[in-house]
Amino acid sequence: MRRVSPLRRRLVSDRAKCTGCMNCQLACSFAHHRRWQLGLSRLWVRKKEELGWSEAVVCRSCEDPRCVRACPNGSLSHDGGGLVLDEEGCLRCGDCIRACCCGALRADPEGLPLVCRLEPGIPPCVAACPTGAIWVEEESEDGPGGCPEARR
Amino acid sequence: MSGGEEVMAVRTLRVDVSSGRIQVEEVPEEVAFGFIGGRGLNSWRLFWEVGPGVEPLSDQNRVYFAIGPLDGIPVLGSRFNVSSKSPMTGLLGDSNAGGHFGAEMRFAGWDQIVIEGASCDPVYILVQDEEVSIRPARHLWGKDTWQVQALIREELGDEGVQVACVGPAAERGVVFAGVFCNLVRAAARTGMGAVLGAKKVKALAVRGTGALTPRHPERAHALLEQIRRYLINHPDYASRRAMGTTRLVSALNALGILATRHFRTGYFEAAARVSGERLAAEYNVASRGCFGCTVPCSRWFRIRSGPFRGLEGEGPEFESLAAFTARVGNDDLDVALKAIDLCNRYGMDTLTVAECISLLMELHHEGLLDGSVAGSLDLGWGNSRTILTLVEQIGRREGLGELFAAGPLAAARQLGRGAEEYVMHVKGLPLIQADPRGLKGYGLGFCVATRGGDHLRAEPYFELSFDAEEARRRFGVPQAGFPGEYLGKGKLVRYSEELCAVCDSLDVCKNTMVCMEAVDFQLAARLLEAVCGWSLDAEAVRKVGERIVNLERAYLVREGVDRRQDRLPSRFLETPLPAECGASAGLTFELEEMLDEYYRERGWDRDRGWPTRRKLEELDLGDVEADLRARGLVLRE
Repeated sequence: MRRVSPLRRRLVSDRAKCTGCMNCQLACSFAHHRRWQLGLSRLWVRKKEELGWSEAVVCRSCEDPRCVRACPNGSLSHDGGGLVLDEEGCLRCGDCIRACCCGALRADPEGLPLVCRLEPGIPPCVAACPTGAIWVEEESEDGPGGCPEARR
Repeated sequence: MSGGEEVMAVRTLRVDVSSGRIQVEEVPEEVAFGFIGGRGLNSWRLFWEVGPGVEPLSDQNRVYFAIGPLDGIPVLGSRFNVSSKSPMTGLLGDSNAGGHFGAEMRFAGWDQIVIEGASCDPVYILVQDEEVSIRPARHLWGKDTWQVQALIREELGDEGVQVACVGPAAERGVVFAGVFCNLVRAAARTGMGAVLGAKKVKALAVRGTGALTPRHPERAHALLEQIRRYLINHPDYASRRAMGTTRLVSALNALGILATRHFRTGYFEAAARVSGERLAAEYNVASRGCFGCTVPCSRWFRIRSGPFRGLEGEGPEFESLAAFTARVGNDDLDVALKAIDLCNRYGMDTLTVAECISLLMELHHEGLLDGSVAGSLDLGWGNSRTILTLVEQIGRREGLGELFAAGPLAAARQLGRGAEEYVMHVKGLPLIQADPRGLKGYGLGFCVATRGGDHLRAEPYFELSFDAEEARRRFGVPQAGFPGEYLGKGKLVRYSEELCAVCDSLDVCKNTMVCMEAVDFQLAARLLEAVCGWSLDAEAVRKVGERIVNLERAYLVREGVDRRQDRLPSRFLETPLPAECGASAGLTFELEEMLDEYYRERGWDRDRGWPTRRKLEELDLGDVEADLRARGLVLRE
């Protein structure tokens, strides 16, 4: 059962533009929790300091996402607009995190997956990035969407 | 000073590496409000804990790492301060750096970490949130700064741990060794790394998983959004993004104030070959930023051809770049990048290393050097092989490195023949890369800076505005807005010093807060209120800046400093800048006039440049006055 939204939106990041400043993570944690805490953001910055690069690892809002398929009790689902987590039902087993093909999904300090819902409008992480290293891509129905793993 | 609402505790962690004892202290509320954090908090502790008679490299000295209340927020860029009694100057030592270390301390929940005593064996200190341990570092001893950071991350299996470390130079007692994090982020001035090296502390590694929860989230968010918009619309934004501070090579050269061939002139004929513009066009491959920064101005470079092909790294900043080009008379950018890379890896202050080299070159040029000193080295200006050889020798404390290990001033005294007059320093700290004859506010700043000859205590950037109207409005005279004029600079430096002291204590970036004027006292007060719930008004925040400057001055007074040490080398007072220096040609430095104005603005006594008793009392520093009096240092009323 594949659910295709008429206009898919997803986050995209560009390693070449990322400066490693962490403003995206700060903005994300602030938007969701009203505090600045790197471990509470829905995206994270991967760094290779000695090589001089970093990149924002973002949820790509896959169609038919592996994280949803991996959830043992249906607590993580996709409602067409984006991922939805039933926090009460979540077993905190980490199966969704292990299944994530982008390496973007992480757990908060309590073990709940930090799910990026990608609400309409300009997401806080995009607004906060000083170099335009993260943006929202919109694709039409026939675009190349979907889980990059699954496309192979 | 009153806090109003209940505020979060400001905490100091003390680690005694002699006994292994670890203690936690809360900073008294009146100290937090009175000194804010960062540099202010460090200077307060240093004044009360490390007095006269303490040898900087002895186990009696202490090293203070501190952050400020705005470390960890987005938009402004987080920094941290490292302070101690300086082995370079014997006076107050303090340096700060950007990168990601300061924010990590915030998320680990520590405002200040004090390292005391001295260990027999090499150790490093690991702070993971509330867990603190002193760990063996024999395997890290001898490793360069890049290696130490990588090895500690590997050992802990955690790429996110932030490491502030020292390189081999610090281990060998080179007094101008600094503290390094994120590869090249250096708290390099005043020899803070040397003090850690003497304690056999190779690194302080910090990992924090906590939060910074603003007291008034919506207000904090709105203020930061306002600052972010201001910054990205600033006329300097694009050039700072592209070149960072290296844009100053061309800018200062155009004004005839780029310190060249050891300050013999302010014009470097080869500046275009070593400029920020050339770096940006031919070497830069990516943009890098400090934690939380909106103006990520750092750059990753790579050398694409020639003998140093493949060399890559972050930076450089203006001071290092100009030091290893104009100051030493070198027009080969690749050699400069290599020299800076070596300094970073050995863990040394680039400005001081370049001072050692350019001093030798000038002494040679003047025929003041005994032929045996140089050995087989060609001490002609800009000799590439000599520059790189000397950096290596100084880093390893071999050959001429032994001569320079105690700093250029000590080296000159050893060389004799009048060499001491040629050392370009104030209070033992070598000057930066701008010639004070044509940049007089900065020059005055060098004279009175509480850490010795440096610009970051004052950073009176406004004097480069060339705006007569604004200068008159803010500082009383139009001259204050022109770098070659001396009038009004006392007032400008006083103001700028207080803003910088606040900046170093909030511990945010001076490029954004001070040079780009993103945050004034009023906005700083509003940020403190929104983020921390501190109810200080703009005047109270300014007064914190004034209090810090006066406390630090009292530290110097206690160590024997007075007006006589607030002076530039006589070259600047006596020898005009040569004709090639364009707008700055013919200028000398009006030291006495500027000091008079400065002391008057500060409310200090004119003869000695000491704070008055009234001034200290007005700043709630009566206990400092009493301490001085008890030592026979009687301040005027």
